[in-house]
Amino acid sequence: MTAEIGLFALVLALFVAAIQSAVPLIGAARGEASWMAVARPAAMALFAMVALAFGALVWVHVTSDFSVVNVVENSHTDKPLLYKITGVWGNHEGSMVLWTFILALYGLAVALFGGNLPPALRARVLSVQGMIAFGFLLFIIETSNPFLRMDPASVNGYGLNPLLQDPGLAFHPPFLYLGYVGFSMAFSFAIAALIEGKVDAAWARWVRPWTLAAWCALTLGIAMGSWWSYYTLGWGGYWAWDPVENASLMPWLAGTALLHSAIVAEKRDSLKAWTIFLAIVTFSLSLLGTFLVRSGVLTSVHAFATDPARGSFILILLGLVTGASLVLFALRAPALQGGGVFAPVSREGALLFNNVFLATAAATVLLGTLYPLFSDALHLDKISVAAPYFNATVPPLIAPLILVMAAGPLLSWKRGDLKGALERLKFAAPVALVTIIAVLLLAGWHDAWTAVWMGLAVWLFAGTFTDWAGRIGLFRTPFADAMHRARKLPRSIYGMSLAHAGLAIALIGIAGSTSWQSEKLLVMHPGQTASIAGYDVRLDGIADNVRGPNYSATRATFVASRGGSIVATLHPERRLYDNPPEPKSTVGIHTNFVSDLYTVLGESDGKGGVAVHLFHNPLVPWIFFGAVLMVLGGAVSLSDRRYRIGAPARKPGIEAPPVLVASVPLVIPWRKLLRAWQYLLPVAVFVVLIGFFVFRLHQAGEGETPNLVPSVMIDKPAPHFDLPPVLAGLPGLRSEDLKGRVTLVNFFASWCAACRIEHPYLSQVSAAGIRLVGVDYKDKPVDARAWLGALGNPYQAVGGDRNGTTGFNFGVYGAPESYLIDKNGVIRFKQIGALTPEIIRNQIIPLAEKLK
Amino acid sequence: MIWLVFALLVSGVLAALLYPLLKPGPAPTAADFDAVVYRSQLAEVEQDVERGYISPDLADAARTEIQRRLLSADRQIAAPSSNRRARIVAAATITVVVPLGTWLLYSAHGDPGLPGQPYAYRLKHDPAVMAAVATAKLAVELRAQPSGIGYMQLGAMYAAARDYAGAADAFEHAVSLGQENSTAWSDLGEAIVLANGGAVVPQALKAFVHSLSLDHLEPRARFYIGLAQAQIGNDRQAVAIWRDLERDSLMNAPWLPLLEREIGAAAARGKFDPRSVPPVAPDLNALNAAIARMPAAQPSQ
Repeated sequence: MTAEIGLFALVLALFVAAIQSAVPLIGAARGEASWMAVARPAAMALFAMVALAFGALVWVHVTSDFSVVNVVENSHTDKPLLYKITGVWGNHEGSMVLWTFILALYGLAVALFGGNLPPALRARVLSVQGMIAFGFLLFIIETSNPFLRMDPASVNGYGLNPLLQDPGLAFHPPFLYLGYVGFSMAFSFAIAALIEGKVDAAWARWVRPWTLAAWCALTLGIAMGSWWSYYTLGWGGYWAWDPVENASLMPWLAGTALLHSAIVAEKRDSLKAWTIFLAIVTFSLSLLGTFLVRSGVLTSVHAFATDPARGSFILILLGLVTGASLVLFALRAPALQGGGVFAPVSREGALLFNNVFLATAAATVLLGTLYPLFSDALHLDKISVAAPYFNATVPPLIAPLILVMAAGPLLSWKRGDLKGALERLKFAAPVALVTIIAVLLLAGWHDAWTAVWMGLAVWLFAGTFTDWAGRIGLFRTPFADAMHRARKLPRSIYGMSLAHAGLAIALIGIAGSTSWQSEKLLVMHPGQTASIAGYDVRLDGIADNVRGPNYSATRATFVASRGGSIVATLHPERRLYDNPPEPKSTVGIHTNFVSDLYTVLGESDGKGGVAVHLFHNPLVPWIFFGAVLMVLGGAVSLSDRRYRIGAPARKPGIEAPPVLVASVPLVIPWRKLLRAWQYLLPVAVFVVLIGFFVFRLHQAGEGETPNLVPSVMIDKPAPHFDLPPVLAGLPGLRSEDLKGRVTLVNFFASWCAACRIEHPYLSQVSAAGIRLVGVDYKDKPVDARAWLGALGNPYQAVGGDRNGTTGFNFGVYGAPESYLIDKNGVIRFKQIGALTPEIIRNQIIPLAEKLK
Repeated sequence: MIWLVFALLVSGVLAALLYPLLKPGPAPTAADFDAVVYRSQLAEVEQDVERGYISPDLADAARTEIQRRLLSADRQIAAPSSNRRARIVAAATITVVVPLGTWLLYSAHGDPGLPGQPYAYRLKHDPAVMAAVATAKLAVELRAQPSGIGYMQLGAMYAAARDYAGAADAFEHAVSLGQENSTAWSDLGEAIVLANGGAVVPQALKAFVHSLSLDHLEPRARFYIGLAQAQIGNDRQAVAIWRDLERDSLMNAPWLPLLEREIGAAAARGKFDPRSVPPVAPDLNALNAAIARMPAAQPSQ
């Protein structure tokens, strides 16, 4: 019953969202107060219904109601309670419900705390929020129903991916979503202002706290996600430029730019169109991240079960949200009058500089993330756009930003005094220089870049300190006086200082860990000692079959000592979970808050030794300290009194004449548009991008899985070969035999374990009328005969490729691999690894039908 | 019960949505939201001057700018109206659209008649879950106190729940604990075959040969050894073994229909008349020799 109530609440929420998006919007346009007033209770009802649905989903997970498909697929009775709860958002359907829940939570916050907003603005903001909620609720109900039932109920569930059974993972998605979804607030404010045709300094002040809240949550979410990746994935790193990581970094970069441009809009009534544009872009990038992760357009370690149908839906949503808002922007932006003018050297100038570089960095990451799609679809040569691309392009964009960042807060509004600011930095500059020289002396010339980055980070830290010290008059006035002023300093200033200092600390961590990480990969026997970065690490022993709540583990005990005295005992493990039986390693970390000793336990070598991966990661903890400091800065700034301006006191008796609230009618200013063509540019770029996604999604639907191992042989004729027979009664195989019929060539070997797994399914291929032939790859014919004798022979012909030449010509990486070849002998499809019934049913058979 | 909950939810939502339409608050008065912001900005400038963050001439410029905004904001004061007819139209639309739409969409996706199945309840009332729990309990007991008979029983329970890998594991324990009879070996072989999606893999073949060596008439072992021949393309040998089994079976043996179907299929594949193949009993020596030549088997899931 709980599940049905959850579904009913979701459906009801969909219709509440429909009312919330339509009624207040029309009300605001027509100046109908009661219609606008519907927005608040609607937002509350929407929240109540989505919260009820989310609660119901948690409940069915906690009580292990296996009549709900989502529970069966993602839970198991043996799972600890914590992971039964966090498993709710560890899957596609549940994470979408959490997404919508957080969206509704923000709507509720506007309804409750938005008393300082003009009624028309609030009605429009909530209306736009309602539209977004409507889109996502429809998406959930139509393509990803979390309350889908099964009858009879399953006896137990399939369990949860062990990687997800971890506190770090359990709690980082909610924060990421708080960030992503939080930017929907800035978006809604932007759209509301565009509809109203009024963007002013007051608007910028109203939108800032919401943006700041989202930024804090996103920063924390990214830091937690990266921390999770650091201590669970066991590769010694914390950031891999994975598409999903980039999907969170892009909105962060754009959101950081938005946060800063909103200051200019608030203080100087300037950069308004740009601020609106950033608000649209930031939320669109959040949606783009959702689309990329769930559509199957990109593959990634983080990707949820991907599905082109869901992809199309999110793409339509993305097209509507971003496309419509960019069109609206193009229509309205030319009419937004710029406010105060400013000189290039000024606070505004510095903030604009920051914006340009942040936006460029976001665009660079976007390009790098989407490039594999472009090259894949257009059959360009593969260029690796992985870490090297990002490492080469992003730091040069951030470096000038840091350089200016220290000086920016020292400049005054309108026209800054560059000389004066530089003079005040006369403390920071030498400190930075000394840092650079010290690093060079200690680490040598090959670490020149690290030295520069360390210098920049110190420059930023010292500059931030200078700014703070200058504001409270430290060293200029008596100490007690300065402390008194320090107490009076607005919290938003403290917030800025903390956030900038946090970034400086994180930068030191990133630069240090990137350059000075050391690692060792070796086989160790109990009692042996390895040394790394001054530590002596002794393998004390290995315990097998250590039981956890739902896994058994092989646990190693390492004793790390330094200069003879014991520092720490570490216990990395290799776990095998019960349900599903999947392996996972856990890392043993010892930290002294400056550097980490990081141990990973590998496979046993079968002779009493184990593979061991040791890392020494200097300064990694600083990255996370820095991130926490940034979040803290955001939170302090958020608590500033200035953002808590209450609603204006009502002035009874002064009845103003009724005026149409939409003071600027939405008429398309064609002439202005032609003159201000640059505002149409984003729309044009977006149309191209969407067109491309549609094409890509279509390809994915056709079974072309992008981004996997290069498909150099696809659409090329199969190489020439002539292989001797393996089985006495069956012919060998020649390339000429491939002509005339659609054939699946399956490379197998008796030594290959995965071949044994795929073997029972091979008969489905010939059952579908596709000729199935085998190539016995790098194998002795006698072994192959025994193997086929034991498992059964599904092939119509088997050729022996004893030395692997034919496999090499095909581009085989290892058995099993399968190639679908059309009537003309051209390779049309390649499967690396074992065939599964799904691949045969969904990809091979449909493609073969087409080729016939 | 569930209908009552649905009705309560809908009426609660309707009450919230209709409240501002049916009982509008006092007509809003002109309230100047923008001006509040600008006045506080002015106050901030004063504070900044007082604490010496900005110079007096910069403060003057800032004040002028904010006052200009304040003036233009004053001109934009607006007070919305409230129209009775509009309120009724909206209220009527909401009252119709929300319940009707919810009902239609929910009926398309929901399953209101299906009761919830919390695990705690099913532990006491659902035979499938109770069997699974009993199986798990027996497995734990057997781990502490292994017994051949116990493992036979456990294997049968796993097989009934279609967990063939578990069944194979249990039967393997049973034979190693002294259940050395032809039925146990055939149970093991059959479980391995089913766990491998119907393929008679070497371990299974080994089990059936064991079974036959204890009782050369064991029907299941003979059937699967025939199937193993058929799976490597030796249709004639398969039919020979099956016809041998057919000959020894009673008229009402339950496996006869299946056997006849398999014989027919193999004969059709090999394009021969099954009656032309003389019945032959499986050759245990040859099978043992073949097994000895096979590569060490991988454990399979």
